[in-house]
Amino acid sequence: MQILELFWLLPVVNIIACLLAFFFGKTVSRGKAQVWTLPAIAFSWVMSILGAVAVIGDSHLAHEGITKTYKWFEFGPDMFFQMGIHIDGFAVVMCLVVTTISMMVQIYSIGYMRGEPRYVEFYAVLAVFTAGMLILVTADNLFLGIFGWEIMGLTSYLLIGHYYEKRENSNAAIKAFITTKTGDVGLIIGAVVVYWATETFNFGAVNAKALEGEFHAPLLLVACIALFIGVIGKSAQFPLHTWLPDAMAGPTPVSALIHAATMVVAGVYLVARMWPTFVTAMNVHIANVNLIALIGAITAIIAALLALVQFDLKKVLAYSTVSQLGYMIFALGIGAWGAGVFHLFTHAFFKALLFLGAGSVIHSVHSNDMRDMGGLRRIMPRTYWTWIVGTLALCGVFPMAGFFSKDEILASAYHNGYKWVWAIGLAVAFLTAFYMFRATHLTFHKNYRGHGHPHESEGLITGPLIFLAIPSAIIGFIGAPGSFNLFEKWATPAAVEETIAKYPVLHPHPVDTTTFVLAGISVALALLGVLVATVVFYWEKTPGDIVERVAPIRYLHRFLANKYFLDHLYGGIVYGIRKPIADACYWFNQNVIDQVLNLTAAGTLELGKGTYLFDQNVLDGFYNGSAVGTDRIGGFFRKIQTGNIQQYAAVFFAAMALLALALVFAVR
Amino acid sequence: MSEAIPGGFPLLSILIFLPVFGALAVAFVPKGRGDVARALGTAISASTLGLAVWLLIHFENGVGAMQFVEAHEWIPSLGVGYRLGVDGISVFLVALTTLMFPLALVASGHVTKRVKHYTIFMLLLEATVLGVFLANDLFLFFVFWEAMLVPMYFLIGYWGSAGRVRAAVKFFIFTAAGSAFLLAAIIGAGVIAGGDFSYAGIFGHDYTLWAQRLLFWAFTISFLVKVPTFPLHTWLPDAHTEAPTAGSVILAALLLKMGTYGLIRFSLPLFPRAAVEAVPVLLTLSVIGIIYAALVAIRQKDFKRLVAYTSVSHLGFITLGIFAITTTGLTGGVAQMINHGLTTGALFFLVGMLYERRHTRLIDDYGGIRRQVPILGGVFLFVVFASAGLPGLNGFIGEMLTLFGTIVVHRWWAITAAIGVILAAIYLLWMYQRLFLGPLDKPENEKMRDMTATDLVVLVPLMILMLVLGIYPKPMLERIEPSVHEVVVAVEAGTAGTDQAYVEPEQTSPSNPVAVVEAAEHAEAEQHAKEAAAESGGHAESGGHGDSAGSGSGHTEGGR
Repeated sequence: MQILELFWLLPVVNIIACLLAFFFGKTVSRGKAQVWTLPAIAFSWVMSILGAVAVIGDSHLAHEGITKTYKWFEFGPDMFFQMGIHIDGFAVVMCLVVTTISMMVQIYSIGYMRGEPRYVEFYAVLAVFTAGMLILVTADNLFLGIFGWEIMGLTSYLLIGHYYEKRENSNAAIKAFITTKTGDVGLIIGAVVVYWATETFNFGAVNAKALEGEFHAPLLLVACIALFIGVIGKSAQFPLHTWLPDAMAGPTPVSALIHAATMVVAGVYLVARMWPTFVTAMNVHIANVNLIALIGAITAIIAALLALVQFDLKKVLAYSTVSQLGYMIFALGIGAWGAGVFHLFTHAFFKALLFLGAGSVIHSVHSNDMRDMGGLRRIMPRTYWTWIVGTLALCGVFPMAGFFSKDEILASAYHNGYKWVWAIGLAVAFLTAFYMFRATHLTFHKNYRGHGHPHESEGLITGPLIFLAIPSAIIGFIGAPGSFNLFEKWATPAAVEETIAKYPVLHPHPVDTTTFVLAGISVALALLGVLVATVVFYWEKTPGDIVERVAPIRYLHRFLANKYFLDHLYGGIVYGIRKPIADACYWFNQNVIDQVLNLTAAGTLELGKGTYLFDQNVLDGFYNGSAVGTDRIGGFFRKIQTGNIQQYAAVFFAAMALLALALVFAVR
Repeated sequence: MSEAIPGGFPLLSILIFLPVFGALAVAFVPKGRGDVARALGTAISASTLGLAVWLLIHFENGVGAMQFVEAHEWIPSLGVGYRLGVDGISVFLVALTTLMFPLALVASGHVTKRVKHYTIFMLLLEATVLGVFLANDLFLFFVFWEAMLVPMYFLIGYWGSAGRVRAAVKFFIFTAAGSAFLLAAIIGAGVIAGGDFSYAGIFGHDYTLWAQRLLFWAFTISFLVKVPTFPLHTWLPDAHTEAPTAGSVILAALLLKMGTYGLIRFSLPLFPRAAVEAVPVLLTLSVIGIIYAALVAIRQKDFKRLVAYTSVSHLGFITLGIFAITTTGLTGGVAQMINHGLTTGALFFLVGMLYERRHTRLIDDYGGIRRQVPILGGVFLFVVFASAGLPGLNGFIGEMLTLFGTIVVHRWWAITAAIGVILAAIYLLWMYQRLFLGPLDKPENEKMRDMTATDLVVLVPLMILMLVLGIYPKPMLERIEPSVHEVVVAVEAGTAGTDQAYVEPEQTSPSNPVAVVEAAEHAEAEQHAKEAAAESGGHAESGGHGDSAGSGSGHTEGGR
């Protein structure tokens, strides 16, 4: 039995673990919910390792993968919804990332979340989150993928709002959910259009049809734009990126797992999985501007700029994540599939490492604000050194993991004719080094400025840091350019290879002098960024009040500090809906529609009254009047009207009897 | 309508009359023993649930026609018969009815005045609701439809909260006004059909276009009031707000479905030509309702009113699916009727539980209570997400099918409606936040009791169903689909060869979507050409709706 055929177990065991933790966490395990979820994630991790071994040993398997499906529910004669897994090298890579980070986060949280409220729920939700992400990356079709996608949205909501006693946390949770949901409308419409056009949700079949030109071109473009709106929401791309920094309200392990390494790359994953479709739709191979590259590049640069002015350590990392997600997206948009996915892979390790490191610091100094930190290098050596590894990896300094992936993206941009993207990428590389070393200096160097008594964190917290530092440092070599690139060999699906083979522009570029020159430029810019940050924040050679004194810098600073006023804009829109528009609707409802109906009812009532008056005064008066005229008859009747009920009854029955007789005779 | 009664006993009659005789039995419970009355009532309605389960098990899958048919003469001179039957459209509504009534009675522990009468009215209401869904004769349908008003009127008017009398009267006037249209239309339809009120007789009749127009609108308006569709919805928030918990639950879960049920059962297949003409209007009203009611829901301060407006919004989705007139859209619509019944019923149970604890409906009087009532908070969140259409819970599949069914024929309506999904998430999560999250700052809330075992007995079955239908909707969909397909076939057959000729667009096999789009473009072009011809020829043909052009123009609605 092929090990990959068992990968459906990965989400299933985590869902079971969630249920067990939820129902028995408090009772059987006395609050230690990790005893349910850790075995499940460890099992998934071991399975992923075994899967990786299988894929490395068999390149055919890595490209083609295995597919197992069964009918979920059908609809009419020809509409199917399937549940199935498609496991190829790419899926295995994703499983490996998800399970590794999730396992480390769960170990870390034993220490980090000890004594926190709702510890059991926390673990249960972590487990179901992991299951959601695993469903997405193992699914063989878009419809099942959406299930995983939305499970993540739900768990993200729950975890961001974990400390819901504070209003701003639940606000952040709602903001994250609504923003990603806005994107999801695009995703769902995209899925519907994909089905409409290709009569399948299956990733492989959709890609094949797109490549072969069987996907009606206008519909293909509509479908891809709609799907990409979903990606923009989930992967926090401009202009829907604003939820991610706010999502830092959640506990730090959550930020590491969900808002750095896994859920936010779901969008990147989707584009990568449907890459042949997107390439065809967006003409990536012809144009040198397309929607994906543009959105990715804008996101990368604006988020990097925003990271410059943050004082909250986690928000620096959050904007950094947004920026790096932009990197991944534009990598896919310029046709560098391998580089983009490899960056996803390396980034997951070093960004999770940085977040968990930040968590260790925050746990120790009880503050997120870097102005309350400083000098922690001597106090927290293990945290410090692993942080340095992560920072260098993020900055793309040789030989750390980030160097290889980032450099490969930039080189591809240069070669594929997207020179403007290359320029933006270089600027982002410089800014990344700058803000990361700013953060490093403020947090770890100089003197301690806080008030508490920080201490190195316990082994349960530093252990995962050290574990994650290893791949962050060395894993880049598997993606070294040219023929050394084992990663692309293992992870590239057959459909992607076909796409690359089909369009000459996307062919792998040669490893020559240019490659080394380009790498040299990007590393030089990164080192320049380190230098500038050190000058400004370590040696403090610039006048401290430069921001206040120089007007352009002041305005720029204010512009950045207000996050380009986007939150004001969206807040305004949402508030605009909530207050005036909703109020207007309600007013309309109460005063127009309801009034019209009420008036109709009242009118009917008045009509009824009028009719009654007519009845009483006119008709009855007429009858009465005629009665007056026939006073004699009236007198006769008055005699009968004696008020005696028996008499009435007798007369009534007599009348009835006469009537009946008359009828009988008439019928005869 | 050929299926004989399996087992040979009149299951559907028993379903209807068991609650009636149950109500009679309850009437003999001695005065002052409300607990006995309620227990007896619960037992009786629970046994109808057992019968409904038996019905579901023996319901033949894959058959579109009526099953379990019973037919007896009643007023033969008028062509009125006592005819019952059940098909894929009604079978789940029957099951939902028999599920919600016992739960509503279990959850009525807080009713203390005149429990016996309350129970009697609930049982009578159950009988009439079941009658509406099971009737196979227009006249019988109307009898049950009208009879339903009486117990509901008293449930709101006697056991409701402060503004109950006004709300009850409003409820009564609106629905009775709708009923006037319905009665006129039913008599008209029956008489034109030659004095036969059976569904078989009426469906067999071919009405002229003008008869169709008149009858369609008379039927439809009365159903739209019941649904309620914008702009006829304003009775609903009042009725919901003032009704007792069980009344709100039954109203939301079942009575509103009578309207959408009527639309599918009568409006579409009986008067296909008029229906096809009216589609743009009705779709527009549906979409306006979705967005508009969601916006109004956002600003509500009273949680019962808020949930009431969510009903209007969600039912807009259902009518959208119905008037797309595609098998997929209709299946989505029927599935959403069940889903909405489960989730909104559960929401009304939950807000009722909150109300029983604090005796206020104002959202601002709560806040931060999840700490105090974690189980209630968790269950509430579950139901909120079900209502917001989260995948894995029941609402999602129905919404998806509705979108699938609508987008192929009316894409802009579908896309606009999809925005309602965002608004749903906004108002529901905001409500949840204001009720449960944040600091627990009201001292009155500090002693709040968490869910009791009784409360869980009510909610857990609903939650299980939400989850099961969300993950495995197949058993439901495959029973609904054949019957709604017959509706589409009836519309196609009834319009064939006329100006309103309607052909269901290919939902799933556009391996040549090109063909679909081209067909659309072709149809549009043809329409233009026709209009141009009409103009040049000097005919005032009023957009091709006139009766004159008898031959099939080949113009399909598929191009919308």
